[in-house]
Amino acid sequence: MQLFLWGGLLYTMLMDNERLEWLPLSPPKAEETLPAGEPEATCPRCGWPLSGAAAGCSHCGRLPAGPLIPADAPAVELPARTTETPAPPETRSDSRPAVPDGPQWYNLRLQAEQLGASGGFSRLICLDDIFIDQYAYQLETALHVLRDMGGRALLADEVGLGKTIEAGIILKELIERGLIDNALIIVPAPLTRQWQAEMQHKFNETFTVLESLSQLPPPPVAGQPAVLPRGARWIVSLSRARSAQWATRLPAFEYDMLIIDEAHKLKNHRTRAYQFVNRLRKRYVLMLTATPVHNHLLELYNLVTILRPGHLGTRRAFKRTFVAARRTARRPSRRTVYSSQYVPGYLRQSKEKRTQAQKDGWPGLNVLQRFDDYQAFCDHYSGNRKPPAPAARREIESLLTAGYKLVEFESIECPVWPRRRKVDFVCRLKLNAGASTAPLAPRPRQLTPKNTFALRTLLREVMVRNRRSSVGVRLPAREAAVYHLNLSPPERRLYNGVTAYIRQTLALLRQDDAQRQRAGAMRLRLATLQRQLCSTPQAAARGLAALLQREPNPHLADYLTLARSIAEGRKVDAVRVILSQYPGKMLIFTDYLASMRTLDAALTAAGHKTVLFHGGLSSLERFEAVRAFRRSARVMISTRSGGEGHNLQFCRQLINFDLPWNPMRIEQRIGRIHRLGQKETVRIFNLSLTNTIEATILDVLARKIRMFELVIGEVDLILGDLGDERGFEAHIYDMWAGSQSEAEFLQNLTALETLLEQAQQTYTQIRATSDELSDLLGVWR
Amino acid sequence: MTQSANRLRTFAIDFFTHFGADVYPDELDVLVALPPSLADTFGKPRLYLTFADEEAGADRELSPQQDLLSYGSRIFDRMMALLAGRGQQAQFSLPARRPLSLLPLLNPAAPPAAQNTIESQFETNDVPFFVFHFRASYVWTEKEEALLTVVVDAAGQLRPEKAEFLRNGSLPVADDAPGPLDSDALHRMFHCAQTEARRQVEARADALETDIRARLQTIAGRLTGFYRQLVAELEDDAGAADVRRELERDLQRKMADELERHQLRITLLPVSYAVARLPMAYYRWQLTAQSGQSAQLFLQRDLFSGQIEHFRCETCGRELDAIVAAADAPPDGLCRAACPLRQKSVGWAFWRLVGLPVKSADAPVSAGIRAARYQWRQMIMPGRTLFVGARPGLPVVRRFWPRVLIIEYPHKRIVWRQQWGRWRQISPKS
Repeated sequence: MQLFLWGGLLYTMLMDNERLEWLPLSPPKAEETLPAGEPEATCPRCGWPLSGAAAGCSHCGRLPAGPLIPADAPAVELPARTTETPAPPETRSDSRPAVPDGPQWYNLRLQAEQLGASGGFSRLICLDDIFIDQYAYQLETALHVLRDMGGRALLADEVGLGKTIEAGIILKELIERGLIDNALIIVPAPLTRQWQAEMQHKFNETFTVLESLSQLPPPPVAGQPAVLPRGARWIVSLSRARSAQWATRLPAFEYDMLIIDEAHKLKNHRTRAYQFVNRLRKRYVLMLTATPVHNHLLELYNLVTILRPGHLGTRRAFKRTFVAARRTARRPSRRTVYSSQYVPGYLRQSKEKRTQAQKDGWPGLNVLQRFDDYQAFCDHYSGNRKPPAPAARREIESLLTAGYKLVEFESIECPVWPRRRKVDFVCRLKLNAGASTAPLAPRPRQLTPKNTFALRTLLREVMVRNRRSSVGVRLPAREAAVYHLNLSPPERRLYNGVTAYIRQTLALLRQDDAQRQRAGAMRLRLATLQRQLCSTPQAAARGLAALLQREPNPHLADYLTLARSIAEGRKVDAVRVILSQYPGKMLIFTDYLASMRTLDAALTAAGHKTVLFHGGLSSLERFEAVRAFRRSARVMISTRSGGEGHNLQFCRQLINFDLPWNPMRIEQRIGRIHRLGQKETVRIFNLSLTNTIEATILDVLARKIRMFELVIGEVDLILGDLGDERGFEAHIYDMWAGSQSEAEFLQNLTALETLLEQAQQTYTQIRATSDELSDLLGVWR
Repeated sequence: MTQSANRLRTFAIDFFTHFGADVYPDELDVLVALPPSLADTFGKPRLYLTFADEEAGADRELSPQQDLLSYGSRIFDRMMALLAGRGQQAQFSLPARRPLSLLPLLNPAAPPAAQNTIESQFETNDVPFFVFHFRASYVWTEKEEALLTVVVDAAGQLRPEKAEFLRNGSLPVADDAPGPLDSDALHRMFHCAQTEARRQVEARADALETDIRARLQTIAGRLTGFYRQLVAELEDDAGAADVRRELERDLQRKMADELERHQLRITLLPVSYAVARLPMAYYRWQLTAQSGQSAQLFLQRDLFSGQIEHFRCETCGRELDAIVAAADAPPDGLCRAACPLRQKSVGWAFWRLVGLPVKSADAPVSAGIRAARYQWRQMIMPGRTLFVGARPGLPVVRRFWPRVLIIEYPHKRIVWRQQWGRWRQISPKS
């Protein structure tokens, strides 16, 4: 009795440690106001800013009072149009007259032809063949891109506004009009399947994810053009596409439509990825990114140049015209020797003087005085009033202070052409950066544009950026809580025992070469079992039973018996508590049918009206389920397929009964209720069993990534910056499977957390950059 | 419901009725009970058709039972598949919808003029017109489609005025047993119609190419300028020549791509043709002047649409812009001005057709005038000029759009204006 009481008291004490913790969330940003622009003098032809001193436009060459086209610009001859006019067989004089149809057929045919004639992009014709919530700003964006941008645009909407939907609408519209036959979508690797599913479910287009070169048509015979199979729809990851083998095969084809997701990965024109995409031949191209600029306006330049080469001029002209001048030293690299050449006025040298200076070893400059010693250089210029020298000396001194060692030094004094009243100097030096332990200064960001009005005019021709403030989209606040739960003693015994078995099995799989062939599938089963343990004993029992069928094991059989003996898991009780404390409808997500049934039985017994939603329902049954949830049921228990394509904004509370390891799946769940059309504050409850892997992952997501604060789509951007294409879930999985123990797993997780923190900070900075840049440029539609 | 949705709804009702389905239209939607043959095609025995309504916007949610019908939807595609190869040719007669006599056209409030006599006699006949429909598709970076209708009469003349109503897909055709078609005649008519369709297509293509050319020129200028600047910015070093060549190749490649993208491709496909028999009425007018001179005038009128054929020059067949009343022959230049052939003067003897007096039926008339309370409405197109003779004493009558009439005598000018359905002389004041 005493023992029982003692045991009962201990149980109560354990339960007392449980708590519902509301996560601190940052307050919503104040609404931004968009600045008005001040018109500057711009070229009426190309929109480039006109400088008063120049005789004409430095971009297109248009003369102020002259013809629109410069005299030497080549006139373009349109290729001769082709007209096909086949004759119907009945009207050939050699054919026998056919018996005509009745006039009713004729009338019907005529009506159908009249209805089917499309008169340009005055309206979208694909809308009824796609399964999306239609928002006016998305439809207007699609029409704007088709009508005014010729199907080539940079879609830079803020996160969560549906760039994928906009791209899908444009794609579908062009397909339905017969303007495109094939399409290639290039995305980050973790998003290939997601894009495939979205294209299938929302746009009824079947895409193939390219994973092997054998999926491509064979290379053509020499001299013959490569031909895509009719109706080819491909999705390929960027990392695969830019690899050596693929980068030679894919550009051989001409694509009707090219869509690039996360296009900011092409911000650097020197990368293989950029050069690969730039080489692709495409008729229509859409580039999607919520953050087109990270550090430098040239990143935006690079993206626009893929769409319309020359639209923003050359790189040099763009910098000169649109980037506010800023003298910055090149950031030294830790691994390479730093070499600097400081040459103001160099470009003003005449050709003769350049030739002379070349003979002296200084290309393009006329040497007046030479210094081989840094000290002599400093002594010569000390007290000198010539402007360049103090700045250069300061630059060199700062590098020396930072720990760089001067290896070589050479400097010359040269005149500024055409008069020698002023002199400039060139400083050539080599510094050894290897000894420096000072942290590298962050690369200076060059984001301040000038001639903003002209830049805005040019960008508006190729870029669309919808912002929540401009499209009138307001998402309500979101509250997130973690319900920390303790497993009951039998559940704890079950969890610990099975987890130990899983770890042992994984260790064996790692060691035994003979097992390696079936290791992949086995690891997956074990991972699933580990997740089932964190759900309900009934789900764990099902997993154990399946495993026992393949791997008979007496210990596992004992655990199976234990699992079946537990009537109800701790989480089920927690759900009852939440339902009693928080009135209103509740959407509960679980990954396992067994858990779903257990929950359903428990909640029904508690008097709640429930409705189930899972992949086994027909479309009509799903519709009825959603309708029942809207009208009468209090709780909807759903598996992964829950709510896809259905509006659930009438519900504002959600319980993550099981936590997926992939945060984007969590985001998709939240997105069922926290979306456009939701009017009330959304509550998200996460059940966390202490001292389990689920609690660890939830902690990472909630505290490190702070995913519950983010808007839909931002998680993807943060995790995409990890620098690893495998994805977060794969990271966690490998880390867990490769750890010998829980302690080792936690240790490995610390390194990931550091990466995640950096990714989070980087993303925050990038988002702020994009926001302030779009405010400044006012590039919205 | 929007206009396009209404047209779709009408089409859906006609379509399923024709295929033997039971159709139950309600205010917005249409319930269709399909016969077994169609149930297989559409995958279910009933369709609950609803139509895209732009006013409902994004809030509209369809239940799985509802079937959205619009251009591009799967149901529409299946309907088109059922019509494939059908309805490409037909023969039908159109009923007479206008009264035979022209007299009801005439308005009792007629402007005054010299006293004339008008008398009509008529006969009717069913006249075949060959109606050809073509689908023209214009594809460049965009796509535009249009349905062209060309009507040719039995003499091989184009009749564009008939195309307007013969392109209607809801004509009240009479049930006719189709007769044999002369394939040679059909062949000739088709070529005539195709030539006209090509002409219309080329005219539209010219307009499109003007825009395309301007756009392409801008793109070419941009690309050329861009690559020129890139080459100019190259530094003089060892690899510059290779880079320059690569840039030039790049420019050529991009220009070739842009030219290919902007090339206009036109497809002119015959869709269907029909032989439509229109009830035509022929009128002969006997005009008698105060002086006793008389003239004959022939008119024809389509009793389905009510169109009245304008006078045509016997020499060139074109519609006349001027009608000359002359005792023997028209003065120089009047008919010739209308007839480009200028080969022979046409011996018309017309009389003026407007300017008849406003008189009550029992009012006394001058000698030679029959009871007349007419005004021509449809016979005289506003803006056209009807000359009444260059002979001295005969007035010239001009009608301006649509309610001003000027009658010019050698010694005076009278201006009439129609107000509230009655003609009033406004100059000189009566």
